[in-house]
Amino acid sequence: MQKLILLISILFVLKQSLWSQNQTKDSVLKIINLEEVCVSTANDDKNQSFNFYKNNKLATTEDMLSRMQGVNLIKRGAYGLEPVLRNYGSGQTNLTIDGMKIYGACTDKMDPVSIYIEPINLSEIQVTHGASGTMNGSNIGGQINMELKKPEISCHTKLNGQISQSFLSVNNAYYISGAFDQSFKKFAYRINSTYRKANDYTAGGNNLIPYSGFEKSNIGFSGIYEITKLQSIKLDYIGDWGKNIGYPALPMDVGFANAQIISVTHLTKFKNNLNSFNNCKIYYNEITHQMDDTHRNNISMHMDMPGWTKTAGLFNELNINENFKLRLDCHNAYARADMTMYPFGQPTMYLQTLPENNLNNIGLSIKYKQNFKWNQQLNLTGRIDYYLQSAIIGPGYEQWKVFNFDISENLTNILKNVNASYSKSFKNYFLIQYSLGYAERLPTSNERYGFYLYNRQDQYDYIGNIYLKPEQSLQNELSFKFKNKKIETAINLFYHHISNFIYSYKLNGMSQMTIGAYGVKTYKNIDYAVSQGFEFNTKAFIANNLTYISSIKYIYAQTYNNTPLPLIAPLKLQHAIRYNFKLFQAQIEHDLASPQNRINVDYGDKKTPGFNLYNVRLSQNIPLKKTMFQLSLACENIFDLYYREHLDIGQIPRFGRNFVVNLSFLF
Amino acid sequence: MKAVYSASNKDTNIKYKIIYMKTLLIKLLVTATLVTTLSCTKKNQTVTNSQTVTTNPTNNLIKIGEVFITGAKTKAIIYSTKQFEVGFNEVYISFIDSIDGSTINSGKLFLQALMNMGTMSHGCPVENSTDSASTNGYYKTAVVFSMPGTSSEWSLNINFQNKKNGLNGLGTIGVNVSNTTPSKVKNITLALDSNKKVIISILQPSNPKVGTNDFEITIHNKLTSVSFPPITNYSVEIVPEMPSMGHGSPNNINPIHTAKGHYLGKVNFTMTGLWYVHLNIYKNGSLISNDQYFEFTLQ
Repeated sequence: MQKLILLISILFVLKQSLWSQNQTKDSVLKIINLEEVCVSTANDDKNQSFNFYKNNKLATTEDMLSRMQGVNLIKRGAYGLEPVLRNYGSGQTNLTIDGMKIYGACTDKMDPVSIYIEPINLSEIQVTHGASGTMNGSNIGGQINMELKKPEISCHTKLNGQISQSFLSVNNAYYISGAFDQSFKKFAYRINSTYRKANDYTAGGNNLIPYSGFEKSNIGFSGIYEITKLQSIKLDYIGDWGKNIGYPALPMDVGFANAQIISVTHLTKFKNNLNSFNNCKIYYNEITHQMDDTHRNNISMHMDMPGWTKTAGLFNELNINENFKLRLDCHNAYARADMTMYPFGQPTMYLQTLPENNLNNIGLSIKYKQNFKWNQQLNLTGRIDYYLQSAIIGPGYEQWKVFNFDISENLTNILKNVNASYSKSFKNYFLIQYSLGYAERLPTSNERYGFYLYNRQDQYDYIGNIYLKPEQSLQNELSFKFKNKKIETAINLFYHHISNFIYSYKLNGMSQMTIGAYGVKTYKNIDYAVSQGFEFNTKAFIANNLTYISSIKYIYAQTYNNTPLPLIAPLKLQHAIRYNFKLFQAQIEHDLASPQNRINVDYGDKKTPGFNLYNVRLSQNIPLKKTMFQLSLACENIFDLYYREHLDIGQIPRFGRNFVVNLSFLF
Repeated sequence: MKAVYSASNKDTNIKYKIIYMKTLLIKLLVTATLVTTLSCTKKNQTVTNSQTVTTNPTNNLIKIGEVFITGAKTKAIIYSTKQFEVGFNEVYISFIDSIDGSTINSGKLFLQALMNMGTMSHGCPVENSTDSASTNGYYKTAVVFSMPGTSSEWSLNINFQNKKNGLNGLGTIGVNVSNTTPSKVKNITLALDSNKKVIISILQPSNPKVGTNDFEITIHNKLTSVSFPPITNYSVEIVPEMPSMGHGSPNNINPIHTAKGHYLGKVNFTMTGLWYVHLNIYKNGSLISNDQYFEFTLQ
């Protein structure tokens, strides 16, 4: 009740300020500048949603991802959502931070690497689907690259900053973030930080979801020094510390999840051409992740399940001109996950659920664009990768001897990716594009070396298979785009055929390790699987102050014998209408998901009913001399619907009605 | 906009870029190879071959005691791999000529172990060698002590036929036998096999580790208080279990009879901690015992 009174009073104040507002026209632009200074190399259309939704300061990285073209999220708790590109999960896509490889350390995928990044660290998220997204590494599903925000050197000393804080009623969460930019003649730096603390949330109908709170802090630093007019050197650091992150869908929570991400970049510009430059980056990142069951009741015994990844790499990106880009990279990734159990009155039990292993990779990729007459364009990307992976001799290696496998054996793979896309535009209004691609992806360490890894979804223990072959995908994509002053619309149709698809396989007669598991499974390459679907995006400028944005996505995916693939999102429509009046902004959002009845029972998929979800957001900018206050209010899930999305593990319902208040101060 | 800059500039630019690219490529390749080789060397640690069998066992032997074989003009020195304990113990005996102190390599040994319990005494299974000559100066035998006892309770009776001087003799030495926890011996009576009294001892794994381990037991029949012939016609199934979790391990190989009542197989442990290895014993295809297990703690 107190909250409600508070909200009403804030609304009242807002209304007052709205009418009494003496607007200055350029102040809105100032925010946009602050938020969206980005040197975008990706296709601008794909960032439309990112830009549209990022304007809203309350959003988390996941909120933004969920609204991008062809992105879905697998949810295991209130935090740590795993991005899925179309139907491709983390092993089939390539998630990079500023082009750097980074691997999650949790064998239960509790820590998709996107959780270690805060929106305030970012200038943009680039999503590229399918075989055209292999620039940073072989994969079949596409790439998500999170571009870090760069400090900008300007000719005169400049100082900018922002502080933003939010409160969420659904889980009494408190978020605060701040950023500070300072620029000198030859040097500029940016510091940013975020702190989030949330308690257990309530789902629709006031149902408390236990073990769903979390706490995390994040610090980012970036400094750039101009050596000469054409050369500069940049240092980036991100530290992220998560604590007591609840995972209601899993039998354990996360005690802590820490990431250290550091890189040094040497940037070279070439004379007389803005589009010609070279980036050379050396990087290292380390993730430590510890699962924890000490907050749970009814556990049969206490367990520690830590995991580690350490990745070091180097890459050089040469942009010869705007049409030709060359990238050479290499990296080494170390991964290990342990399980220690403490049975009462008995000796402790220890095993490596992911035996220590090293992955070494060197790859070369090329991107080439050629324009032809009659508005035709050809885009070519290609990548070749050499991978060498092996397990380190130690406890995990000994464990695998029970299956008569020598996992220290060197596994080498050469992966090839190529994509050609042809487009023709007609009078700058209409564009048609066809892409044909071929891509391959390496089996993940879990798929190769996992040792009785429990999967919550189907409740089986999984053991790896070192003899898995890479998945190979042949991809067709056709898109049509239409654009005029009033409306921008695009439809993409895709058809992917994946040979040697990696699929779970039941091992009969083997006893499971996890208490309560149904049995043991492994992975094998099946003949093929097929994934097809479409995305339809529209942005319309209805009137001067009124913008409409919508996206529809649909995927139909199955194996060679018509078994639906697991974790496939149903047809989903997300649209929003935004009203801008001077410094006031209002936005109504509607999400519609159809029921998903095409499920994979063997994998533990359950049918999911459809839902309609409504959100409303209001924001008001209040300029004060050279600074700016921004007040935002939101009500998410207005009708307090009890619902879940198909990709939510363990059928845990999502947030109920949620009031959000955000106050930002920009200077 | 992009096509504006001059042609001459373009040429020098491209040249510069190509040189730059070349050096960069070389640099990168060198570093990349370094990274790969370095990470490879990290992995190629030497495999510790823990299972190497020492060809000459004498290095690892400890002396248990010595006794004169009266009548054979010989001194017997008794060695083992460890102080005697309940379960299977290897016993190495070397004989020394009492007159010239030389090692006697020719002769026949018959060993007996006896437990003196005051009013009565009984023996335990002993593996006697049929050799009439020593190997490297030792006669190799084994004793399965069925219970703990002091040197006034347990004794070894050493009968020796000295081929060098043609004399026979007997020496008796008291030995300490310490208890083992968990027990390495099961003394059971099999109701389903005509109340046969059976002694099962565990030999391997003596130092259990995660992964694959040799599994070896001996099975003897307590026919009388002094006669313990090996049982060679049982079949044994092993079922490992972690009692606190209730799970087992895959790919175990059931022990089969090799010789002298020894049954050899393989047991797999998937993690450290407490393991039970249950024994299901069959005779002529029918189950006669399923309630025995040996305990192992893996560190």
